Amino acid sequence: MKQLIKIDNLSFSYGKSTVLENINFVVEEKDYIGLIGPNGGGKTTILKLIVGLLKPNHGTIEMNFNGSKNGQNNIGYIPQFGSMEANFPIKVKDVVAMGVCHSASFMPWFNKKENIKIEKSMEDVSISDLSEVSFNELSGGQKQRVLIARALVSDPEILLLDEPTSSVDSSSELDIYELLKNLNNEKTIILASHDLGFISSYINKVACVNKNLVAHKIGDVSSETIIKDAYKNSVNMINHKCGL
Amino acid sequence: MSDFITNIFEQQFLQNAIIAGLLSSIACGMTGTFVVVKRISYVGGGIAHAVMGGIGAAFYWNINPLYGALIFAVISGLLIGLVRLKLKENEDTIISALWSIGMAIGIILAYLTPGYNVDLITFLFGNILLVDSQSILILLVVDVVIISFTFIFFRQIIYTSFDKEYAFVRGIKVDIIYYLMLIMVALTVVILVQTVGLILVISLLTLPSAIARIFSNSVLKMIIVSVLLVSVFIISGIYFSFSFNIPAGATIILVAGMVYFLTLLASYFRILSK
Repeated sequence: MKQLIKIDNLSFSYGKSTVLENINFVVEEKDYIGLIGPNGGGKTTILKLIVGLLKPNHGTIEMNFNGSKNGQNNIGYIPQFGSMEANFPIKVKDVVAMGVCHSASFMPWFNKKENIKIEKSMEDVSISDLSEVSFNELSGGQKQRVLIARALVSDPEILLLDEPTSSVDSSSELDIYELLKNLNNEKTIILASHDLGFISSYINKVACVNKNLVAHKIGDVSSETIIKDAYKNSVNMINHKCGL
Repeated sequence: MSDFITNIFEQQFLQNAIIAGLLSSIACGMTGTFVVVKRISYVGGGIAHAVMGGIGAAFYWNINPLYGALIFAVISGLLIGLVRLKLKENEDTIISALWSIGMAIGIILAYLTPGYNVDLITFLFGNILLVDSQSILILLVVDVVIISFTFIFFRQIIYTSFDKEYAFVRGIKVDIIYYLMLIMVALTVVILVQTVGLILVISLLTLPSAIARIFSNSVLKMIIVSVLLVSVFIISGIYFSFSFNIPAGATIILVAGMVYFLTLLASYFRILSK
């Protein structure tokens, strides 16, 4: 399998506090990787480093995409929606349209080609009927779909998702995982989550992040080993049958 | 009312006031919308007061006060941006510093210039009824600049305000856009100093767009509603000021303030009745 991203000996710190240390990690084409670890363990930081929002203190990140597109169009980034300005007057379609914008996007209107891409992307995640609705008025699950549509507009090779189900009810959570599963037929996915929960049945690899990173192939290990790696034995696992 | 309309056709100063009012409302509605959605109204307040230094300096060296105001406004705007982006500090301290230092410079220079104290009051509280044709020309130029900025960078400004990180990931120069917004605020402040005076600028910059926000689900709609509201506020302010012989700037702000609180009350009852 082709290596899309190769992270080599990477370290990162915010001021004096080290967040990531000596990370080595390879992402192969069509991988579906669960990035698991406690809050503050460095999951979001890894995603931000890959996407270019942060620069590593040491080490390198090599990207090796197929097409001739520039980097920003090959990565579809789906941040947590807490990072957005709350209560901002913006319609769903305009949020999705961010995915086609670039440094030379001038004037308030889109061109025909952009419009087609935006419409198609909204169709792909079944939010076409919400096009004119205000982003604020959506439920958590709908907002997440909008952000996925925004990431899909540029037809990226890889999707990076940061806790996509943290403020979503459990039925929409399953819908989103099903949607991602379908997208995984064509695209590589890295999904950060603080619990293994539902995702263990979808992913093919798991990377446990807590300052360091340990990667496993699903099937090679039990979820108990993963949780221990990720949380450094700081959680007590209780194996039980609840008998309900 | 008909007396007022007859006077508009007969009196040059009323015509000037109305033209200046309409020109102000375009700049104010556009920039005010960005100020409200980006929540930087205190930047407007800071720049408005810093402008006093420029006006004092203009009196002292005997040039058109608007030029002094323009230079001080743009420099303060850029300084606020530098502190925020390069030093990674919150803006509030630098804004407070510029706010009072600008006033201090203005007061001292005006004091050293004999006979200008009355004019200084005009800039503190504004007087749209005294706007001359040279000022209207400056207003027109500044308006054209603001309209062009808004049109050309519309999407980039909105995206940067809504989700700065994603805008950055998409390749938008978010820092440059932030500076651009600060310059727009600076230019608008200079326009509004003429209309309502530097002490009251912050209200006219924020209240109309805050009202528009309640009715709008997009920034474009918000801009259109804001521009209309500002022009209604200014024209009715001029009317009341002319009819009752009271200061125009303060009257404009009172009209805007009253409509703002009525809208708040109405939307409160709308929420209650849901």
